Amino acid sequence: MLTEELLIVTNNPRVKEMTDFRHCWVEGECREVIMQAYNFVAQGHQLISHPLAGSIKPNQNPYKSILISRLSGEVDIAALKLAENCLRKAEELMENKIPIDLNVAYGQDLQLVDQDLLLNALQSIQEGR
Amino acid sequence: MRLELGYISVKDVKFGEKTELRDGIVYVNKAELLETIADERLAKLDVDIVHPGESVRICPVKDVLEPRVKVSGSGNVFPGFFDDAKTVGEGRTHVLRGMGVMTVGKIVGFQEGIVDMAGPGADYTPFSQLINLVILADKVEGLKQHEHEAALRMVGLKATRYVAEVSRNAEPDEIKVYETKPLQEQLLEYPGLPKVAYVYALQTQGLLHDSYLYAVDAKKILPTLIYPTEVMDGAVISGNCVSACDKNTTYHHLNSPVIYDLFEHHGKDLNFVGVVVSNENVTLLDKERSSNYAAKLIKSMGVDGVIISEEGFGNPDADLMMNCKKIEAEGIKTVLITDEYAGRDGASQSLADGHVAANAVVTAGNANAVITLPKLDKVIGYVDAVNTIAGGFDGALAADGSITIEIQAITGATNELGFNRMGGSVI
Repeated sequence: MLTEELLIVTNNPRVKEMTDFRHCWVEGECREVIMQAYNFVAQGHQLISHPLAGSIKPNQNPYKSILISRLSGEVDIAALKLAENCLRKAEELMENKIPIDLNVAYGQDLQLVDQDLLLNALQSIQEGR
Repeated sequence: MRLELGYISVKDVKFGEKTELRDGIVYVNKAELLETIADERLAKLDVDIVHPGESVRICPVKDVLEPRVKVSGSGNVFPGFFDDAKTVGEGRTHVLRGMGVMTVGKIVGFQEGIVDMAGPGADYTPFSQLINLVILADKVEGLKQHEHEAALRMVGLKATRYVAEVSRNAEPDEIKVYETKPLQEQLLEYPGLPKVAYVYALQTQGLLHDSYLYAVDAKKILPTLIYPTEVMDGAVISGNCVSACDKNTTYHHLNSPVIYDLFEHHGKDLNFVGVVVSNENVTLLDKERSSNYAAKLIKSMGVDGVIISEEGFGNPDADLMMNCKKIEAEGIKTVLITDEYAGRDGASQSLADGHVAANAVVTAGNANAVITLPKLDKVIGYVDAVNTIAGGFDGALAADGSITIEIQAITGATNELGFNRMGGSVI
C-alpha cells in the first residue's frame, strides 16, 4: 500500500512526528486508541495492523498506534470482531491499570517500542505494494 | 536426520584458572570468558555464578541458553551466527545438562524478567533449578536499544559457545537418539499410527519481540519445514525480551517439551513427521499469509494431526486461531498450546481471539495470577522496574522489601511450549 493510502490511529507523540503519514490523533490511553480504530473499522476502513501488537500489555504501556486504511469500503466483519475482542481484552486489563510516571526514562522507551512495532508493519505492507 | 544428544551432567560451575570440565565440574576462566564476549557496544561486563537455593534474585533476564557443542555432523550450534549456516541436526551434540548461561541487561527501562533462585518465586521458573553462569552487561552511553539488544544477544551466544567447548571430548553420562527420516520415508514408517506434525509459531514483531531461524529474522520467512533435531542444535534462537512469562528463551527452544515429548511417543502411539516453523507478525496480512502457507504445508505433508504453539500475549492469539481454523478446515485435527490472561481472579476471557475449531486447547497457566516474593539477600541486575511496574502492579515494593507481582514478570512462568512448573491434577 502507498503511504497516502494509510492512516495511523495513535496517541504516541513519537509517531505523530512521522510527518509523511496521515494521523488520527487520539487524546487518551491505549483503550481509547483501540476504540477509535474499532470505530473506523465499523465505518468500513480496513484494519491493517493488529490492535494488540506487541507483548507489552495495555495496562503497562499507554502508547498505542494502529494502522488502518485511509479510505473506507465494505465493513469487514471478521476484522470488526477482532477489534472488538482486542478492545474487550484491553478493558479487562485496564481494570488493573498502573499509574506510570511517563516523565521518567522508560516513558520514552514505551513510545519507542510502540513505534517500532508500527514501523515493522509499515515495512511489511510497503514491501508488498 | 539422526542426532545423538550426549548429556553430561554438571555437578557444579566454578571459576578457575583454566576453562575446562573436570570431575563433572565446569571451571570457567573468568578473564578469558570476558575477553571472548567483549563487545565495543558494551561498557561493562561482569560474570557471576548462582546455584539453586541461593538467596539471589536476577532481573531483568534477557535470555537463558544451554551449552551445546557439535561433536560430529554438519555445522555448528547456533548456525548462521557462527562460521557458516550449514544445516545442523545430525551427528552428535554434547549438552552440559544442569547449567544455564543467563544474560542480564536493561535494554529498555520497563523491562522485567525475574528469576529467583530461592523462595516461592523459584517454583515458578524452571531456571531456578539450574546452576547459572550469569552475565550482566551494561551498554555504552548513547547506544540505541536495537543495538543493545543485538549486542546482548551475541554475548549470550558467544558465552554459551565458549563454555560448551569443554564438553567436546567428555564421555556423556547418557546418550539419547532422535531421528526423523525424509518426509516421504517418515510418512510410511509406522503404518497404522496417526501422523503428527508441529506448527511452531515464533514471536516476530520488532524491537524486543524477535526470533531467529538460522540467524534469519523470522518475521521475514514464510513458514518452512525443518527437522526437529535442527531445533535441538540451536537453529531457532531468541531475540525476544517480553513478556517474561511466555517468551521462549533460547534454552526453551533447545529443550522444547513439544518436540521431545513427541519423540517420546514417536513409533509408539504416533508418528512424528516434522516441524513447520512459522511467525507472528504485526499486520493482519502477514498473519493471513503465514497461516495460509502453514496450512498448505501441513496439508501437503499428509498428516492426521497437528500441535500448534504460540509465543506471547494478545495478537499471537490471532495467529494461533488462524492456524487452527485453516488446518482444521483441511480435515486435520489440531491441539493448541497457549497461556491465559484471565484476570487476577481467573474469571475473565483468557485469550484475545477464539474460534469454534479450537476445541482442544492446553493452557500453561494464568499470567495474571498474583504472587508475593520475599526480599532476597542478593540482587544481580536491576529491580527498579520490577518494583514499580512489572506484572502490571502499582507499588509492588513493600516496606519489608517484598514485592507483589503478577507471575507474568517471572521468566518462563507460563511458557507456551509447556516448559514450566505449573500443572493440574485430578482429585
